[in-house]
Amino acid sequence: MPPLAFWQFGSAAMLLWAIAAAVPILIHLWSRHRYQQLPWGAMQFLLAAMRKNARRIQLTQWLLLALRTLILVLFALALANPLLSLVSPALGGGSGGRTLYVLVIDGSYSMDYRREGLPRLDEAKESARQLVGDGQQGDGYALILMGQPPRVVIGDPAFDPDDVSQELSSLEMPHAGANLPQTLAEIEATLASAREKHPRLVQRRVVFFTDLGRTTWQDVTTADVKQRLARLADLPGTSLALVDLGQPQEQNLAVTRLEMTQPLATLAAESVFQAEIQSFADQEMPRQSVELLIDGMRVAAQQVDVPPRGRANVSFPYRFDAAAEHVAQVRLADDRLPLDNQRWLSVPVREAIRVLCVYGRPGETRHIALALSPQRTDRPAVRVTEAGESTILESDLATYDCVVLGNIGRFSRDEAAVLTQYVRSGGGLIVFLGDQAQLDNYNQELGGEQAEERLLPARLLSLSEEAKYGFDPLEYRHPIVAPFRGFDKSGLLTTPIWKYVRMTPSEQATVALAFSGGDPALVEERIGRGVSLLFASAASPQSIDRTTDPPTPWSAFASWPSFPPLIQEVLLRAISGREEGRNVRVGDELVGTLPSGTSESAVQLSGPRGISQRLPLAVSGGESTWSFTGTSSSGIYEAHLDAAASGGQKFAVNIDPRESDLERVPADSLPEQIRLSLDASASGSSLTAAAPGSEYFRMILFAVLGLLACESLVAWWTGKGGA
Amino acid sequence: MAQAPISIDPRTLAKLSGLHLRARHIVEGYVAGLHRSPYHGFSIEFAEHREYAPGDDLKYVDWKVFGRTDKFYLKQYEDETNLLAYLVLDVSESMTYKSDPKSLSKLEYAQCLAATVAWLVLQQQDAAGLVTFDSQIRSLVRPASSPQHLQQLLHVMESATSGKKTAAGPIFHELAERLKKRGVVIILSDFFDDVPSLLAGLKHFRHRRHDVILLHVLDPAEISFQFQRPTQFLALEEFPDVLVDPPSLRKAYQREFSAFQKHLEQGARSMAMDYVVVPTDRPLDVTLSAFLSSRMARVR
Repeated sequence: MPPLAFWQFGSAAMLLWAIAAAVPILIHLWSRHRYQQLPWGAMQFLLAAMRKNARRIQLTQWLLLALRTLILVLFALALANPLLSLVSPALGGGSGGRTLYVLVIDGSYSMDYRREGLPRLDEAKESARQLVGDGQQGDGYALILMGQPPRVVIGDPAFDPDDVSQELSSLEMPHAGANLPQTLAEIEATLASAREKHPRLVQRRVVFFTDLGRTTWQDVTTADVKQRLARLADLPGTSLALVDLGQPQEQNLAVTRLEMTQPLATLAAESVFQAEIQSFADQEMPRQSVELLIDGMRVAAQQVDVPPRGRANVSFPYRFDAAAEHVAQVRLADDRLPLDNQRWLSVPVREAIRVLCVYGRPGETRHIALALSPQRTDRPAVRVTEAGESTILESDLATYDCVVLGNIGRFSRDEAAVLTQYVRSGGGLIVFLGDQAQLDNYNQELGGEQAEERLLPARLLSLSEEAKYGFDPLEYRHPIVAPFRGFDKSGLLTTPIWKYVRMTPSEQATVALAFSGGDPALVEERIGRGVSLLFASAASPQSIDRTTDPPTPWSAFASWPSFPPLIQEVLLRAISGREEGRNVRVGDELVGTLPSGTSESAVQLSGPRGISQRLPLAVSGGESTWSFTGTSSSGIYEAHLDAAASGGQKFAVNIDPRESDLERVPADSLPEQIRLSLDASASGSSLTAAAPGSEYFRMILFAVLGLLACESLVAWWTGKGGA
Repeated sequence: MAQAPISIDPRTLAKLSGLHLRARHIVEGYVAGLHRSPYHGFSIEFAEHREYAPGDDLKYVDWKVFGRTDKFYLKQYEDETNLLAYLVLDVSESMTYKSDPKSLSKLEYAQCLAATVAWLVLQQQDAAGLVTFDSQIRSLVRPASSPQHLQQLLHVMESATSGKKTAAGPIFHELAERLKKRGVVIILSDFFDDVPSLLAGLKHFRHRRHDVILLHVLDPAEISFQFQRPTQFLALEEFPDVLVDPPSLRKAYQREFSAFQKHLEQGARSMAMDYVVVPTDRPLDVTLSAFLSSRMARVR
């Protein structure tokens, strides 16, 4: 490390006095023009003396000039109060200069844990306020809230304790975890900027107020964090301290998951909510009450026994009676950490799942429609519409949850564009091939080379040889075929296929089902927010290979018993992206889409803690989207158009359940610099005790005195005329 | 018992204008302070005895002869009444220097001294002559013993203008040639010159059997060099002007100066000449006393 890096100045402005060092030089120059004139007789002796002593005189004059200049420079240096900081992070020590306190408050939601009704965050604020109150006049304060990401509340040091106190009071806890490495980076940046702007804050003290939760602090053992901490502690005049607000053996119960078993809720079918309750306690927690609330109304309740450090699952079936935006909430009884005792789920309920079946030849999708909606009722769970190819351009695809293409011959560029836009904005697409399908056209229009342009999850290669093929379920790994596990006689394995199209799945695609020869049969890929599924053979018996004699159909899949359940699973899979983005975690971005043709230019978003914001709409690709990144609180967010006061889209923002684990990092895993301060704070030492750094101005003043004596001596010696 | 002589301070003298007035002031002050006249012993050599006649001063009676013969005989001295005193006064530019504006310059001091000596010599009916010189002999007044001669001496001294000085040695050679009659040569100068050359010139006087007295007139500042401020010294003679910081050179200067003085003094003593340093800040009576007492001691 360069030696200069160690030097700090208490009052660097005083260095300007070093300009006074020019005074002796100026006097010297001036005196060359200021002298008395005297007539003189005894000149030969003077000349002789000068001749013999010229060198000595010049030397002593330079020496005197140097001494006088040095005296003034050193005096200015002493005024500037130089401090050579040798880092020693222990609390206590010398004083001198002002201190910059960087208050780092743990904002992870475990800080909401309450002791006698008081959250730890409030305790942290109080401790910080106390530290600010104990500070000295001229001390600066920066405030950083440890979060995910961390937030620099006061970056440029504040010098008024009231301001700091006010900022502390208005500090709100984000409902998320905390990122230690990022926080350390922010601390480093804050210190660096303060050092530049406020050089007189020569001592720096970073004080963490935290419960030492493992989720936040487990990174402390990583090389990156260790390196950052060491770097911080190595900064001249810098010390670290930690105020431990947590306690060992704290118990907690949390709702860690809430979801529906089906991707979409309809009026026709019962929706099943599944909640997971996790215990972070060492003993069993029996008879815990779990409630289901729909739109804030308690509709069901159950009691569960939660094993120590284990989980319990609760299912709530519920049938909605109105097609609208609903919110489901599962809630536990309050404990000391209330924040994680509830979870929300946004449930847009529709009358039925709407599917558009587009056929390349009438009758091609008949079996599919039948399989999707076998019962002729007034309130079918799936409402299927069959139409010819022209409907792709003619109708508004956005009104359908899924589009099924059956043996379409070729696509125009416009059709391909409409379909791509539909899938990208969350629609489901299921493509069945057949004898009409022109593979080159499919590849060209739907199978772009780039992921952004692609609609099909695979490139089509060639037709297979005619033979009898069956399905290989690939160990039922994929969710589409997973329900068939254990039902070998369901017909899936014996489904007769005689002809199919060989294809190469794209890198992002997954193969859900294969043919017995190993070629992929059903390939899936997420395209934008939607899902695209491609079946390598035909779904209808109308696809016939006429090259053989007699002509043979491509498959008997449509009439096989495995067909209806597989098609149902494929549909559920295809529409899984339909409501994606409605349920996110704290910190995630909220993105909403509105159908094209909206005349409004903005939406109004409201949320918990009084969030209310107008968000502009961005129009791209025929739809209007808005986004919101400030989801720092958990709860329900609602976006609606200005014109409509109600009936907007609802979004559920939930916390990351990892922070519910109140386990702490062991003190001995903390780096030495922080551990030392822990011991010290436990023994009651003050947090405001100043950091290291030694004063040198006294030594310099002594040197100045010495030089003054030296100067007098040389001047006397010179006055005497030398030796 | 001797009455303490009244101090004749050069500063007091500086307030008086005119050499005559100054000389009178000195002589009156000085003579008033003495019981005995200092006129004895100016280079008087015994020649023969003569018989006492009434009116003769009893102090010249040779009592040893009286003891043996019961007759009064007086000691007869050669040139008894015609002691020749040559006052050689340096009037070069360097002699005009004075460190104290309220005091006398070296030249003025030397003039006072010379005038006083001339007065005293003339009062004793001895003869006093005067030579002034700088780069050459500026005036030469032949010795005379008439009381009116003093006026002429004082006039010549006063009207002497200072000029550049070259080497004094050759001037002394020339002077020794010109002062044919043996006498006392009293040289009043600062002797700022090459010492060997000076001594060579002085030796010529001795060769001519002159009794030589060197009155080394010096300003106290020239001895001590006690200047503090940076100073440009403007040379009074043929030297360049120099700008110096006096404190840093004082020691070296003093060394140079005392070496010069010592050399001169040793040279003078080796030739049996009187050498008296005459600082211009010393009261004139003190200077006179020192000079005359050393003189008398030497004669005895």
